Amino acid sequence: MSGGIGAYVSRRALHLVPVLLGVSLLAFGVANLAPGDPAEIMLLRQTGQAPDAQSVAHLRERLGLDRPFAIRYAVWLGNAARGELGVSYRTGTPVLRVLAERFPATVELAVSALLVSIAFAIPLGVIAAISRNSVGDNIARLIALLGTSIPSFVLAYLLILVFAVALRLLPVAGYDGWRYLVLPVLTLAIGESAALARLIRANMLEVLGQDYVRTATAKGVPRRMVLVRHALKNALNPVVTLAGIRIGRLLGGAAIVETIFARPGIGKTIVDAIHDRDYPVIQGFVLFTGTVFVLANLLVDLSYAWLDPRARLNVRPGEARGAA
Amino acid sequence: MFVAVAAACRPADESGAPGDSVPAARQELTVGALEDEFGLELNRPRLGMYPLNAGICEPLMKLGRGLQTEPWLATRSEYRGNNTYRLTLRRDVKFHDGSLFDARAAKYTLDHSVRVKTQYSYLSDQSVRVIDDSTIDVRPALPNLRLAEQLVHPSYGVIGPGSDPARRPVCTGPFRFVEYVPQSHITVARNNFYWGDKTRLERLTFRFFQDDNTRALALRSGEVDAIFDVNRGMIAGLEATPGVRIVKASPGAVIVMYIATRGAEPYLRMRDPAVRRAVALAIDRKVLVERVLEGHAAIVNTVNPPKVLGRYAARVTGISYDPAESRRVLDSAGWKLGAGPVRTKGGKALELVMIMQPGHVDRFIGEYVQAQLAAVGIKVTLDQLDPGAFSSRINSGAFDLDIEVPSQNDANPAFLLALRWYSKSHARGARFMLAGPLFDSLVTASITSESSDDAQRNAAEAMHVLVDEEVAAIPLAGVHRVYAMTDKVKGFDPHPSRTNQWWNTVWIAR
Repeated sequence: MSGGIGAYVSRRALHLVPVLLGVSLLAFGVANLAPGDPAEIMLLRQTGQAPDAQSVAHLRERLGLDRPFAIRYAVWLGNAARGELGVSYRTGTPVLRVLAERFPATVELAVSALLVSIAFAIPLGVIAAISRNSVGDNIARLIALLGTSIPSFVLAYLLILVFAVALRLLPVAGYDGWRYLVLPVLTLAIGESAALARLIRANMLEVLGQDYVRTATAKGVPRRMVLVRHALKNALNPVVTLAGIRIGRLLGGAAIVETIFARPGIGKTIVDAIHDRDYPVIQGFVLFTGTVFVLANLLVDLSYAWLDPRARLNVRPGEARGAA
Repeated sequence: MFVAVAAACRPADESGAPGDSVPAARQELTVGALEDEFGLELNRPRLGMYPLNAGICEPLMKLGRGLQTEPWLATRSEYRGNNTYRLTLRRDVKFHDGSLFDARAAKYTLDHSVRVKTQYSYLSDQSVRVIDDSTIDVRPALPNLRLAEQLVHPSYGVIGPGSDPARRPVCTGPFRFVEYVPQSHITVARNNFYWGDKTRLERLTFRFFQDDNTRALALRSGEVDAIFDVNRGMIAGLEATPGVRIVKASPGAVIVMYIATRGAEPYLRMRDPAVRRAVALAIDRKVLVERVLEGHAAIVNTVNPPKVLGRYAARVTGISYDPAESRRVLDSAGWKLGAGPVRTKGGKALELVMIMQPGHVDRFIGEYVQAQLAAVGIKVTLDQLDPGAFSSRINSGAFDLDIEVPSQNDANPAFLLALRWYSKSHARGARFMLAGPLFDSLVTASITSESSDDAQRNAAEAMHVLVDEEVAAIPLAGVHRVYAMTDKVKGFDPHPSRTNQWWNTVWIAR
C-alpha cells in the first residue's frame, strides 16, 4: 500500500476535477434557474423600496447577469480556476473572504461536534453490544433512539432552557470562547452520537460473532484486548465512512444550530445567499464544500489502511474496502 | 408654505420615571436586536443608523410619536417655492469629536447620502447650497415637496465632515460609537457633551440574534435587558415570566392585503371590482385582531398607520365584515355556488393565489383569510415564497392576493400610496395593482402639496378611493411595536417606528 499511496492519492485528486465540475455546473444551473432576480433583490434591500426597471437593468449589466448562461458559467469557471470566486451581491465582499470569515466558526462547531459524538458513541455502542438485551443495552438503545428522534432545533431550545435559563451555567447564544461552544456542540453531537452508537452496536455484534474473535478468546487473550484490538477496531470501519459523510454534512448543514445559537458560521450565510440569489456566494460555497467533502472521503479511504490490515495488502484501497 | 417651529424635547413616559426606583450603580443596558444587517453593502455607510438606530447620529428633523415631523438639528424648515426647502440649523451642537455642527456638516451629510445611494428624496450632489453657517437650501433634482417629512428617516443622520460612518461614525447623538463586531454586537457609550438632555445610561449594547426564540430566552436568562419586535407567539410566555414586562407602541405598520387589480394571465379574477369587494366583505378583521392576533394589534382602516394622516384618518372608513353581503355581491356578479364549495362563472372556478413571505408575515394570518374566503365560496391557495421568488412573482403580476407589512419610518403620508398603487410609481410591480385615475390624481396632489396638512388631506382622500371605493387594498390590522424588558429597565418611551426608537431616556433601576 505504501508504495502505491502516492499514485492512489494522485488518481483521487484527478477524480476531484470532474466531480467538482459537475457540482459547480449543478450549483450554477440550480441557482440561476430559481425564480428571482438578484439585481432586483439587491436594490430592494438597499433602499427598502421596490426598484425601477432602469436601475435593475443597469445593475444586471454591471453584474454581468444580462449575458447568456453558458458565457456566465465559462467566465465564472475561468475565474474560479485562478482562485477568484467573485464578489457577493449582498455584501460586496469577495467570496473568498466570506468563506474565510465564516468557515472557522462552522469548522470549530462541526469538528467539535463530531469528536464529541464519537466520544459518546463508542462507549455507548460497545456497552450496548457486549451486554446485548440487558438493561444496559436497552438504556443505551433508548438513549440512541431519543438522540436520533429529537429534531436539532427542539434539542437546542431544551438545552438552552435547562443550562442557560434555569441553571444559568452557560450562555444562551453568541460566539466568544469555549463556553459559547458547549450547547451548540451538544445539540449536534447528541443526534450524531446516537446514529453512530447504533451503527457501532450493530457492527460490534457482527464482529463479536466472527471466528477470529472466538479464536482469540479461546487462546486466552484477555477480554478487554479482544474487545478493543480485535472487535472494536474492525467494527469501526463503517463508522469511519459514516464520520466522513457526517463531517461534510455538518460543514454544510449546521445552519439551524448556527442560527439558534447566533454563531457567525457559513450555514446561515448560505441560507441567506440562497434566499437573495447571491450566485457568487452559492457557487463558491458549493465548490468549497464539495472540495472539503471529497477530501474528507479521501482521508476516510486512506484510514482503512490503518484500520484494516487487508487493505494494506491491496494496491487499490477501493477493493480493500470491498474485502473488508 | 410649510413652516415648522422648534418644539421642546418630549419627556419619556411616566412609567418608570426616576423616583419609582433607585438607579443602579452601573448604568449599562443590553438590548437583544434582530439579525445584523450592517454587513449588507448599502447598509454599511449607515452603521448604527439604519436599520438599527443606536442613537449615534441624529437627523435634521425627527419623527415624533404621532408620526409627524418635529424640528431637531434643524429648528425650522420652510418651503420657499421652486422645489426648494430652507433649513435653519441649531447653533449649539457639537460632534462627538468636539467639532461644531454647522451648515457645512449638513451639506456633507446630504451629499454623502447621494454618494452612497442611501437617499430616496431625489437629491443630487447639486441639491444642497450653504447660505450661511446655520442655513442651507435643499432643492431635489426632481419635484419633491415631501422632503421635510422624509428627512426624519435615520438614513439622513448627520455625520461629521470627513468621518467614515461605515467604520466609526462621528455624529451628534446622545451616544457615541464604541465598537462594532459583525454578527455579534454594536456598543455605544454616553455622549457627555450632548446638546440635549444627557442620557443616564453609560453604555448601551445591541447584541444580534438571528432567531426570535433565542432572543426571548436570552431575555429570560438575564443575558439581555430588553428585546424589540417581539414575535407575537412569544408575548404570552414573556408576560408570564417574573420580572419581565411587555411594552407596546401604537401601530407603526399595517398588515395589508395587496390585490392584483391588473394581474397578469391567468391571475385575472381580482380585476373584477365585485370580487374585490366581496373579498373585503368576507374578512372579519375584528376577530383577526382580537383572537388570531390575540389583541396585540389594532383595527385600522388605513394602509399606513392612521396617525400619519393626522386629523384626516377618519376619511377612510374601511369595509365592514358582512359575509351575507359578500355572497350577494358574488351572486350578482355571476359567481354562483354549484354542487361544490367553490363558486364558478362560465365554467371557471373562483380560485385565488395568495403569496406571502415566511418571516415577514405569520402564516396563520394567511390561513385565517383563506378560511374566511372559503366560507363565501372563494378558494385560496397559499404560496409561501423566499425573497427571490416573492419579488419575481410580484414583478410579473403572478398573484391574486399578497399580504405584507410595510412600515412607516418617515412622516410622508403618501409614501406607500405613491410606491405601490400609483401609475407613475417606479416600482416594477405597481402596474399590477393600480387603483385608477382618481386615485392617481389625489396622490399627485398629496406629493405636490406645499403644506403637510394638504398632503395629509389628499393622501387620506386617495386612501379612501383605494380602500373604500376601488378596494385595491385591504388593511387587515395595525401592528403594535412590541417590546419586552426586565422590570429594572425604566424610562422607556416606545416609538411606533422601530428605526426611530431612541433609548436615551432609559435608565436601570437597582
